[in-house]
Amino acid sequence: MASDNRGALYERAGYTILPITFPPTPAYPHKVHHHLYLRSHDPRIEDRDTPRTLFVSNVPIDASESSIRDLFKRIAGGRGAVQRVEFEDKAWKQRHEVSEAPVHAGVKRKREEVEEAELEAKMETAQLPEVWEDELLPGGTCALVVFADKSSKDVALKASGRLAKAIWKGGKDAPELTWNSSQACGIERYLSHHHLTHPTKHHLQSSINTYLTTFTRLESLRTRLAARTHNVPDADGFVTVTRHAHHHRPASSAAAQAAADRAAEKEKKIGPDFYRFQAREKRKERDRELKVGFEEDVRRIREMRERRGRVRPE
Amino acid sequence: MASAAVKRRKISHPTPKDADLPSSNGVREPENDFSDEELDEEEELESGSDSADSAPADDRNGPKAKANGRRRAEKRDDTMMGEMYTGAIFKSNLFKLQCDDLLDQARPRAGPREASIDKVVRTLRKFIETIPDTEPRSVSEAEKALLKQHKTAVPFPDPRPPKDANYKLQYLKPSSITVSGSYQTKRFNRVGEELGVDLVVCMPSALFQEKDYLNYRYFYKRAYYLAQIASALLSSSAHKFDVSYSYLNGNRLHPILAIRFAKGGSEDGLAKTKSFIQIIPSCQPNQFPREKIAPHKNCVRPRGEEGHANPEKLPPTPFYNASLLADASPLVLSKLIEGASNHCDGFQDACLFGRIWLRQRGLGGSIANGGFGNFEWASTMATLLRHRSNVLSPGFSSYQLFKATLQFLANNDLRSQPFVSHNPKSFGTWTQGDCPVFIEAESGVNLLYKVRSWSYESLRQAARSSVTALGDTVFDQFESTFIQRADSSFLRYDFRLTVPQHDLLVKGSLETLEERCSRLHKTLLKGLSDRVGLITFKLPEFQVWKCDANPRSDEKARIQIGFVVHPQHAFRLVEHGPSAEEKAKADAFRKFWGNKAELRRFKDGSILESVVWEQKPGVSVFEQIVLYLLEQHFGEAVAQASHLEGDQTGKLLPGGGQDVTAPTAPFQGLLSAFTTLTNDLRSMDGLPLQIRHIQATDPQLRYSSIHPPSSTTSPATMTLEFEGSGRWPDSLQAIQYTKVAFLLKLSDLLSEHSSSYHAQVGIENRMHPIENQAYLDITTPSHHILRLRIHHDRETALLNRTLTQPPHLTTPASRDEAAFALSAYKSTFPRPAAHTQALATAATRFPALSPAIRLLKRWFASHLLLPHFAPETIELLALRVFLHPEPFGVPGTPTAAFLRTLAAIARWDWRGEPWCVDFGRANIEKNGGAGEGGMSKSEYAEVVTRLRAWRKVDPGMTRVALCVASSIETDGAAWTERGMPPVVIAGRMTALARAAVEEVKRWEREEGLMSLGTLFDSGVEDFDFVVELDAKAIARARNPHEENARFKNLAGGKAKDAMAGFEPVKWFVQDLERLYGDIMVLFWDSDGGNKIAGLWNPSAERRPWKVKIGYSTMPIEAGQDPKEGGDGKFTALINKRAILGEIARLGGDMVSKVAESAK
Repeated sequence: MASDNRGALYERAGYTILPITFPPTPAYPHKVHHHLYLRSHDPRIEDRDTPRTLFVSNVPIDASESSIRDLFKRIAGGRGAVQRVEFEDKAWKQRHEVSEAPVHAGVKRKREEVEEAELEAKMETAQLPEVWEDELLPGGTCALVVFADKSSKDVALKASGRLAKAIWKGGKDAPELTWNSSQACGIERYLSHHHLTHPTKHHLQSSINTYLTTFTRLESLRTRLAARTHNVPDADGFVTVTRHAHHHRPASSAAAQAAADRAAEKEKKIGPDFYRFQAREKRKERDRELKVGFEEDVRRIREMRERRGRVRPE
Repeated sequence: MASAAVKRRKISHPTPKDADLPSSNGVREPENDFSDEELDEEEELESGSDSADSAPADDRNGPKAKANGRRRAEKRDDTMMGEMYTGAIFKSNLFKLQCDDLLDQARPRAGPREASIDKVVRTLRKFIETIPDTEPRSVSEAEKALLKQHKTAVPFPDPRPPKDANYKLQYLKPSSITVSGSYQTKRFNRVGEELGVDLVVCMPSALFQEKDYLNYRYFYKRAYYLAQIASALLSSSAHKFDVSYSYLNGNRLHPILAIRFAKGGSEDGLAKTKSFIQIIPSCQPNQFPREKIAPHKNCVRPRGEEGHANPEKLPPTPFYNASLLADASPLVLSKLIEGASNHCDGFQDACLFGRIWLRQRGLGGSIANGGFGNFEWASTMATLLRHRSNVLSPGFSSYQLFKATLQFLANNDLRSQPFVSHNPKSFGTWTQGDCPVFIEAESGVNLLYKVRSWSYESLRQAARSSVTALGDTVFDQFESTFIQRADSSFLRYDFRLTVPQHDLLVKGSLETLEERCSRLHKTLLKGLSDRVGLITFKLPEFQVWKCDANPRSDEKARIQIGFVVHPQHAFRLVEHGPSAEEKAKADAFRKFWGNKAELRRFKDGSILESVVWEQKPGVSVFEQIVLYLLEQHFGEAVAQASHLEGDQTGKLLPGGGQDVTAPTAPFQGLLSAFTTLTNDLRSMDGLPLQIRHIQATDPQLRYSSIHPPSSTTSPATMTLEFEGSGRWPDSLQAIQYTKVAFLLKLSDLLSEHSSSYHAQVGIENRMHPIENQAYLDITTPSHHILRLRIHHDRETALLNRTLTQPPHLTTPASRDEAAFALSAYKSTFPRPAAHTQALATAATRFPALSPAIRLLKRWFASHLLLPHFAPETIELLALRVFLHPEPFGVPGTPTAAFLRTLAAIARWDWRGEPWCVDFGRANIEKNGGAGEGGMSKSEYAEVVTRLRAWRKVDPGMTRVALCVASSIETDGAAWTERGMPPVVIAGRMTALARAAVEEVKRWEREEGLMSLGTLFDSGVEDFDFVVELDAKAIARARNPHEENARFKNLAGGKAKDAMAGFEPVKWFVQDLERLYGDIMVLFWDSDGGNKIAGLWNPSAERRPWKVKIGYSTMPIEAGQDPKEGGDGKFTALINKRAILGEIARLGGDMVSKVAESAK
């Protein structure tokens, strides 16, 4: 790559392209550049935080809120204070969808419904313990960096631009922005994972108990709700048809088997070839099947030949 | 109604039981060669348009034979179409179509090669006719003259003619010259065979005297006659021939001339066409009185006793006699074959089938190759057709002829019951010891005279195996019968012994090599008894030699002996002999075994002569016996010089179990721990529900993990299923949490039950709440670790309900999640349980199976492919050669099984063919052919259909590349779905297997020794980058005693148990795959390797830049190519070095080096 080209690449398509340096490690003793793509956040639907948010693409896999905070502290000095960092993942998407959804204000919800929502929320929190100390981000992930205010963001972006330009320019006294990761890695990461996957009995038992009690309460609440709305016309006078939750399961597998046996017995008594036409049709069917089978075989041979040439002894 | 009448008549015919099998009792009329039922069908469809063929005509001898024959042919054409649908005449449609293809390839056609050969043959013939006669001369004079004038030696057989012989040698113009052999009769195979043309030169009667059949006199004269022709050809100025001597089929009594064309000669046609001409002297059919040279007569009188008073008392010389008769019979047999091919439509094709079948098994007419070649095949068939219509009938199709001939070979022991085509009285009740007899009475020659006892056993075994294969109604055995080569000694034999010919021969003894071999064969058979199924000898073959020299045998030539063993008996330690009271037998036993024989008292009170072998490391009992027998009966020198190759598994497999005597021994500890745990669990009070099943699901519990279980191997998985109950919740997630609660309860109960159990609940699949969430790691008192999961079969129903719900009630995401969860559920619970059970049974049935599987897994691991395959996939790959061994037998050693498996993988066309294994076959073997519980035709068809369906929905093979099914899991994608392995890896597997097969071929070609280890060598040169792991650091972490200050709660005696299932490398690779799965493929040896190698995905190299590209990039200016960007944007180039930097950082102290390859 020619050096004049390098100089021209600090900004493209509205993005500031900021090279950061991965520090050399004993296993890989090379300084390598990693590129961050930054610009002001510009979502289709803006919210309160939009003006003070910076959109960063291609963050390293071991990025965390603290490491990003540290990075901007070094870029913009004390003025680029980061409030929080949101990494792109499922939760991010959902959160945005939820926040975009219109809030049903003014509709007074019934007591049961409120309780239902509460219980659901409680179940969410009663999850099994986390098994990783730090989550890794997939390659090329995006992040939203929310600054304290709009001016902090502007300062940070401008400083990044300046820095990027200087780094791209290269030369002896070019600045260097080193990436400092705060994540545990190597054996430590996996030891902690091993430890976390085997939580103490007490810890596990309590979260399970919470979940299962809540689940039971929720189930009974829902049954009550369903019973109440059963056959009751709503405001428009319509009755919602609900199905009862009893499933037609045979009492036992033995009973199911007996039923099948009875059906087979009946079939056997009459026999499949009771009428002459049945026998005739069966024979015709067989002939047809033979023919189809033959054609199928011919086709298979043709395919085989196409795949690996003609049949030849090795 | 006419048809009704016809119908009745037809039904009254005796109907053969199986149209596919040629009937073996009763003569079948040619008109009835189609199964009668089929005709019946036809006529009913045509509603009675039956007329001409109603009168049964005997067209064999009848006057209307020709006309009938034509009608028969026409009729066949119609009926063939009908037959084809049913596969009655051929095995199946598929088989028939493939056969047609094969015959098309192999059938001779008239082309430029044939034209040029014809021309050369004509020239030769004319030339021989012009050779001038010579005067009769005495033996020494004649020999000297030839050597002096023409520099041509006379290829006299051993012993050479006596100096004082009172008969004269002479050359006279041949009485006839005939082109004979398969070239003339258009039965040669164009594929992969050198084309030989036989020029039979018939010596005139005037040359011979009445008594010339005695004492090699005929053969001396024949040799001189041949030398005369050779000298004339060599000294010819008009033609330039490359003439050399050779032995016809390796028979030392039959020297012949082999002609190839010298470069620069005028007839260079042959050089190009890969063909040669053999000049074979013969004599008049009635030259010598038949009864004098019948097989049971003696024709070689001992020296000095020429006028023996009573030659009847001398031992018969069957080989000599047959060689003499064979010289007198070529034209008679040619005529016989010619007649058969005119008389029987399928004959030519059946001969081609036979040729191909023999070739693929390395069988041939020469004595070294077994003495049963194409000529023998054709003449056997012709003889049977002519004289045994209950075996072969002219109405048979080519396939039926082929199969019936194989059946004849397989089912009849021609050693104890000699076959004589007709007039058996003139041959008496004569048997030839351990050699087969098949006499064509017209010529009187024993067609199998070149077949030695060992070759006969091998031929019969090949025939038996093929008959079984062709009787297989479910699997298409076309490939194993005609396509696959089965002549590699490394694949075919369990043990191979090489004895230098030079050492075996005793100096100064009259015993020929063959006699010596025969003795060795008998000794080995006797000593190994039921340990061995087959012992074959391959003698060094005679090459051609120059006409001015004498034949010389290669000093370094070696005899190769192959053993096929019965693994159940082969490694038995004690050999029981006769009881001490049977004096004569006991003496013989002692004499045979020498010092090793001893008198022992056994548990049952019997006192027997016996031999007891020791269990030595590295040398199996079988090898000990073979070497001992060699030493005992053939001297120490022979034993020293010989080389026995057997199983090399020992060096390659860790932790024992390679010994076929007790392959499952290293697994027994874990299995008994499992059984104890099962019993303890079942006997516990206070369980919330009754236990229904406890099942093993782990490779370690089915004898198939590379490492035998120990406290450091990963936990062995098992599943527990409770009785059904209405108290289970009806929500997937709640079910998972309930299971965790049950596990906690179980863990409490276990600790209460016995303090020596240590149980710990672990969490898994945390990101997928509807999948199994937890397991219980149980450390048993014996320090084995088992991992228990709870199986609840309601999950299937609930997941299926989600999947089948109408679209408006679910989202695509939840459907995907459910589909994923369902396949995870199946591959955790029901599938491995059934597989484990079936495989454990098979492993006890086939002693070599367990080490063979472990060896194959080791091979996959060495080539860094193991983690890409489900263990079950590899196990099914290894099972095939045991359950479907055709064209071999069931392997007796893991090495043989492993090599055959590699060969099968190399041949596997996985794009279009499923790999299918039928567990039921194990029982078929046991029940002696009575199939039960095997796969049905429709089940196999289902496997094929499923593969086709997958290829239709997923032509790029991104989800399913391989289709590996078994009789208990007909869904071929069960173990291979979701890129297990991806198509790249599958391709690499095939490439590596092919390379291995090439290597084995190289050993075979160079007569080298087996070095199994080389197949496991793999380099990392092919990869883009290599991450080297720091084994020491990982080992330190595994051993928390030395250094683990961080987790104080794990300290103490339990700490080691608590580290069970700690697999940092595996998790590291899983992290990498999750992060970079789209841009790289990782290869690593999950069985303790210390390298992770990777390849970049070439499609991710450079792309037009966008925000969410999914991997780390660096910008470069857009290239000229408008596809790569434009509109002011730039191109994103994958930032490989940054990614490697990230990998190094993530690996931290586990990684010692990350290296990019230099390419």
